[in-house]
Amino acid sequence: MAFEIKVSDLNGKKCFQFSGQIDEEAEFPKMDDMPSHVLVDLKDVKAINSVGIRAWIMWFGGYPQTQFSFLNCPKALVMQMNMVEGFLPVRSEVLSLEVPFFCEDCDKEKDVLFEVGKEISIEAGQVKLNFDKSTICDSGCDPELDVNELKYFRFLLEKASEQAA
Amino acid sequence: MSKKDKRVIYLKDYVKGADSLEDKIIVGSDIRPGEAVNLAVENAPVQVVTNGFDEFRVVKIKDDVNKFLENPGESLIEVTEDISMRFHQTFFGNSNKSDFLAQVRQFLGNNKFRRVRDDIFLIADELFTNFAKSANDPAKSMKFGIDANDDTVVVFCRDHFGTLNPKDMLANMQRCFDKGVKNAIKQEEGKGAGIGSYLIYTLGVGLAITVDPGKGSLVLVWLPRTAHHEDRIEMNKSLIIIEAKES
Repeated sequence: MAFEIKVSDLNGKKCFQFSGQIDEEAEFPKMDDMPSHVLVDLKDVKAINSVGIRAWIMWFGGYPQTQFSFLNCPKALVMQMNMVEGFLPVRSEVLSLEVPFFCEDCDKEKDVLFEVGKEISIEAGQVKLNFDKSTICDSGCDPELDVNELKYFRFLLEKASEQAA
Repeated sequence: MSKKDKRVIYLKDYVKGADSLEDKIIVGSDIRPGEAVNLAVENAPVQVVTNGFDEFRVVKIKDDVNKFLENPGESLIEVTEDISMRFHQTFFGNSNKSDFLAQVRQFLGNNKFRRVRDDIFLIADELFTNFAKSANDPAKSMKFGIDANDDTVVVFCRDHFGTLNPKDMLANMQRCFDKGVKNAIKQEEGKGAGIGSYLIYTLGVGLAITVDPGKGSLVLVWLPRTAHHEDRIEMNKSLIIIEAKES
């Protein structure tokens, strides 16, 4: 699926909706009037490869004065946020991300959107999760978080430390 | 096979400068990923084995490189009869990448692969993209494969032209470890920064690069099937570089 950026307004801010695969075919447009604060919705991003990572880092790096707020981050990009130092722009925050669950009872995977400040909070240098498990799967099921909780959200702690410094 | 194979050197017993490490199997219990790359850069071809991987499996591979090139998955793990754990496809220089990745995604849909799915998809993308770059002939073929059992998933790509240069891949990986990915990208502006090799290596617990010049190249990664991505990227990795000698 070809990469695309659609621009819209969301809650009074410019919103870039990224979609498709971020790879060697992806073109990031030059923005002459990049606003000082931009929302980036990643809900429809399917995957990213090394060429896409390079293009992402170079493009966001071209706007060092802009604050980027990332929404609906899929797992494939959360992986890069933890694995590639500098993947998240210096002036950026993550507002919401996919969190994988697995239910042994119904043998199904569920990716649930968690919001920072709602299901996810950062307290005393630790990530705390607060969510209602009963809403994730069918009645009677007991889905489990399918990540290493201490490490999956590490990029949030690192970002919080950077911003505090 | 003798447990005292002269090709095997245990790091705890090694005295620097006493012997050349080139084309040896170096075994250490806690060799960090960047250290393994440095050892490989300095001594390639070389096989760095850590994290409990059986060094005598590497001896067997070196004793019959052709067999490893022909059946890489089976050389590393006990392959099951379960066809839902095996995906092999042959592609050509003019094959469509989107179609290839769609087939890989479909195979990985089984929730047995849920913890490695995104990583294997990225590895498949990197291997296909590199093959497409080096195959300047639409008729040139590559074999891509995924073999898995309950413990381990092996992902590989083998071509039949043998022009892969392990030293280039290792240099790219070393640059990412030394400078970080972001700085490696900035330094190599206008060129490929080679972060693909670094990503493939980081996502697994072992990387094998085998070249038989003029005959075939193989890039192979193995991953523990049930380990979370965020745990795997921190694990030590074995790094096996083999260059077949002309017989």
